[in-house]
Amino acid sequence: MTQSKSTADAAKNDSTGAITRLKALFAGNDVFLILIAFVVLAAIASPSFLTAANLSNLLTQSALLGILSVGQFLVVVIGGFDLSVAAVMALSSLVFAKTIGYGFAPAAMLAIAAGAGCGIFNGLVVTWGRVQPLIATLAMMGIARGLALTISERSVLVSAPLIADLRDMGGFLSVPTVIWFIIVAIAAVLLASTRQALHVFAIGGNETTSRLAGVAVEKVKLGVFATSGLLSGIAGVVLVIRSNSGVPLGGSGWELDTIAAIAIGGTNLFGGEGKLLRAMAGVLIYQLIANVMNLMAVDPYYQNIVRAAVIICAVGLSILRLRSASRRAILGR
Amino acid sequence: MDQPSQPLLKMSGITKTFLGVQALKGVDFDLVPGEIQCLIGENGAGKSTLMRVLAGALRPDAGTIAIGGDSFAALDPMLGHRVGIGMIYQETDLVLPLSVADNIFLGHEITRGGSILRKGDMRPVVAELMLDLNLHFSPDTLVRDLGPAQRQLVQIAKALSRKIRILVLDEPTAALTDNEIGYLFSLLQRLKAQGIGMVYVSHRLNEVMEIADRVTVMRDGERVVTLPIGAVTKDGLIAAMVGRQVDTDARTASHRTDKLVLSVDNLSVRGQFSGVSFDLRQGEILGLAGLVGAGRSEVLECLFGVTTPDSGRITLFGKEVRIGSPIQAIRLGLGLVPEERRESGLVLGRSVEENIGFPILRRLSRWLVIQRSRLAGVAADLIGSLSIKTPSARQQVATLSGGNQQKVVIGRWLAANTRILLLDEPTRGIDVNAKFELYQVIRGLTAKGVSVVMASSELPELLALSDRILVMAFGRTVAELDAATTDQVEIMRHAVVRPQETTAGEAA
Amino acid sequence: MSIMTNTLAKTTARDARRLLADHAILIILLLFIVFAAIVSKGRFIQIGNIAVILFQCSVIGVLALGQTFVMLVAGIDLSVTTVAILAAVVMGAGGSEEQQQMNLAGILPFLGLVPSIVVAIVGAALIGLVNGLAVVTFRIPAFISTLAMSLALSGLAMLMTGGSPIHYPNAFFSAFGAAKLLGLPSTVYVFAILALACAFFLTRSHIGIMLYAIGGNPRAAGLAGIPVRTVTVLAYVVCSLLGGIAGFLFLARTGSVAPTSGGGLLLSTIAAVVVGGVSLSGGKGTIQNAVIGTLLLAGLGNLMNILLVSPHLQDAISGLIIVLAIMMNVRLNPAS
Repeated sequence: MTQSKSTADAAKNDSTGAITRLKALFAGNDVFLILIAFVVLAAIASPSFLTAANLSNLLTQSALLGILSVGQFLVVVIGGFDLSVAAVMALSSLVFAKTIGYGFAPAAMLAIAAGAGCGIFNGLVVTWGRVQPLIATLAMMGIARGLALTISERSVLVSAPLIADLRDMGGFLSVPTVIWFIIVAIAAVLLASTRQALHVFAIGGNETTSRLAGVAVEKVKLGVFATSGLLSGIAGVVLVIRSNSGVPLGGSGWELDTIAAIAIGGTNLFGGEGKLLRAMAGVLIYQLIANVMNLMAVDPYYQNIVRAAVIICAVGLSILRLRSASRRAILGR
Repeated sequence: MDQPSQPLLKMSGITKTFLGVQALKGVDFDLVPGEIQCLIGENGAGKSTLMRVLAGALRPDAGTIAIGGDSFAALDPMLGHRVGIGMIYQETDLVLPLSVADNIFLGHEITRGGSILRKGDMRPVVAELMLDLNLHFSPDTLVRDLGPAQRQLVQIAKALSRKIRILVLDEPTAALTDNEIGYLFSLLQRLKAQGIGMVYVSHRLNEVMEIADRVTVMRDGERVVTLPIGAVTKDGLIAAMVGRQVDTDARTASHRTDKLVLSVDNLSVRGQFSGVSFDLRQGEILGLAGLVGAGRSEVLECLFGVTTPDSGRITLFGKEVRIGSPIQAIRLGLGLVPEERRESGLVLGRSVEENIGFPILRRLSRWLVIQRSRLAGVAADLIGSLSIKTPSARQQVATLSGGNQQKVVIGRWLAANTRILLLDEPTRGIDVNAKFELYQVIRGLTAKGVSVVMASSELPELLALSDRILVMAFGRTVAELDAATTDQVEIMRHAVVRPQETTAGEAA
Repeated sequence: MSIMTNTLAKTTARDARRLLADHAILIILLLFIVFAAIVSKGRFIQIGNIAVILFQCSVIGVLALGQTFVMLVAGIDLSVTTVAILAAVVMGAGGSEEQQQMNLAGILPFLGLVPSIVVAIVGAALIGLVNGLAVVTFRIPAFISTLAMSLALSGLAMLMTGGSPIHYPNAFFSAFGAAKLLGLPSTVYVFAILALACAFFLTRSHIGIMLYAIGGNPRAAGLAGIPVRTVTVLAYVVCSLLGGIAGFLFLARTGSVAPTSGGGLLLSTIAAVVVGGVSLSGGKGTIQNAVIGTLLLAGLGNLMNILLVSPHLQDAISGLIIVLAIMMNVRLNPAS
């Protein structure tokens, strides 16, 4: 879409056409360029970065955050925030770990259903209850984390052999990585091709206009929160596969990490705009920074500082983008 | 149209009351297939209220809406789409971050199984619509990247993309150049040939004369007349819009003195108004006439420091001043009674007393503590002198009638010792008796040496109260008239004309 | 005459209904106390237990007071709990006998007790100033700018402590926390005095009237000559300042502080205010009701303790009740 916009620009003003075309090549793809730049920097900074083992590890580490970020992406695009993604994941991981005795599939279904249930609850509170998403999901964060810790205060080790197999399966691409990729692939296809996805963007862009045009705003919102919950549920199962246990405190603070990651990926934090693949590149950049700091044995508390700085920069960047966009809109062309 | 075909739309006895004021008083309106009916009237005549009822954005108190064979007591947006009503709003009704194509089909996308978008099927439709409107850019362009005129045209394409039988256009040409207007009109002619009935709301009488089959004039919430275009002249239409004769007795003795208090020289705010100049003398009432969008409110807001001028000079009591904020304006002796009383004039949830006291709170407090007895004293004085009808000074201002609410806003400025009062549509939405009380209040102020600038769409009111009347059109002052010698027709004639310079400026 | 009595009767009925609506939260609190007394077989209303509830709610209560200011101008401060923790870290490290190693907090012991308290409180107010200016001048939505501030501050707390708790702050704090007057701990008096001061400020000062006006209709308030931006910034400063004081109380109550201590505080704080009927869209709410909301939630937690509900399940139940309360609040006050 950016391409065609700039094509129009180019047609309008031939003298700057070449520059415009050049800009078009890079505009909006800055996230991928940044990712590449970071990879290069990381390779220089740490010789152990560009090893297959580390890259595989980086992807596996990104998988959970990535799956949660897909849900967060949808919620942010529709104009909200989901602060409950990480807590719901933890809850789901415990449901899975505690019920795996009944078989892998039923337990996984139950865990994912628990996640989806939390999401539907969020959606109902937001649509029917008219509570701001931020507050609704903040409360859900408390509920889900509380329930997770009620089920077990400590991590629940899973001894099912299937889990161990899944954990060791796959070479360069681990099972969590593959699940993440599959989810992203499905989501990308659905986002590009379905009416409902278009409506998510439309509602985030202008809710009143969407309503007047006959978009079922409430239903779509409910669907988005349910999907985010569902993905958190899947992330819970993946968490167990990755760590061999259900972790009640799993993903503490990740709710903000997901927001920061997709903000790095160019998603407009005020809704209506964003590209899933770029958001996922944002996840990789975010994880890569942590990975490199680990490789370089940076003190954990400095890591926290860096993390906070990255989040603030990402959010600030998002605000700046919005301001320049609105200025453009005011001035016309 | 000799054999009146089955009307496409028949609205009968539509009544709508807002907060005790009748905006529509049993209006009948009908539209036949293949006609363009223009709807004209002064600001506040009820045109847009009627159209909002038709769009389903408002629920009428009484009356029926018959479309084709079906009759409804009220519509909603969904029902409107289903019966084939297309609305083109004056303000942008598009999702900015989405593409033109996505906007056009929003809400009625062509899908497979209700989910999968069939872009291949939608694309040719979009392309054809855009061609019809002479829009030569990619349908994938984001609406955000379009200018106002292009956005307006996309909105029209959006309405046309549905199966419509009735199309309502509310001031569709406000953002368009003559060239674009030409395309729009030829398109409307084609739609007419397809049997679509169109309601065209406009202030621009030239356009009306060019395009209408019939013209309906509304005034004071009633339909005055519906005539075929062959039977009307521009002057006739102006006379019908204006209607009421001024009650000459209502004209008041002037308290105008020779002392110059405010002098505005060549004031401009980009995108709002330009080159506005006028003088104001002590005790004078200067009327500001003009249609919606002429820039009257914007001038008042600029004087009150809400916006900063891009150029021009303001001289107040002999000293040139820069007014950067309302607080500064108040300190200089200005007070604004804004157009939208409930949205901008009052904090509805707070008491009469507090609403009166807002500008002088600091003066009424010692250290930090507000001296409630002094506040109550100020409020009691004003409630008495303006005869504000309220159970008590502690009453929530939301519970008062419109006229009394307006007196609270005016009272606030009396409490603050305002010397120049800026009134923006002071009697809008206020019933007749309360209006007269307000007139007396305003007169009483000038007797005390307060000067007034009053923007109003009620010409009789302007003629009765003002000393002089400044007419604005398209962001410029186009005439300065002596209220004693002018009349409504003359004012309207100036107000509906587009000054030549702006046309040239916009076309460039 | 009969018309007059009729109107009078109508007015009385309307007044009664409004009275009921205005005091709904108080009535709920009273009903809850009765319910809790019955369920706990009287233990809930023993003087000792009530003192415990008050002791427990003083930190959240003070935070809720600040949050009320910000919410009155239709804002929200997500950083106020982090401000409290950071302030507690600075105070705790200042004048501490414990030698902190390898981090910024190691510098603080040289500050001494009183200077460190002053630094913490003034710092808190400055943070509020930044929050307010961000909202007013850059027009960044409050929840985003204060969220970012919260992150930055927790980073700073980490930097200062190296992530480890401050176990042995100056003995003054635990002494203050343990001090009692008439059977009630000193922190309760601090909370009560601050609550009274805030209530007085909001109802009796001209700035209080301005705060309500801005929350009710910022545009109308600005056009009536109220300094909207200044007063809005002030609300954030007051909120953060109270956050700093809450940090002091936190240290006095618990005797130690870790950079991660603020976890559950934020939700409880917002919950207390919103349950108390302070509207998220601004202009509505009182200090009294925010205090009642705090007491209600603290009482609920206490009752669940008595009933031996596990603390984590308590979190979950609280979250649920909070959502229901907010939903009720939103549905009863259909603003805008």
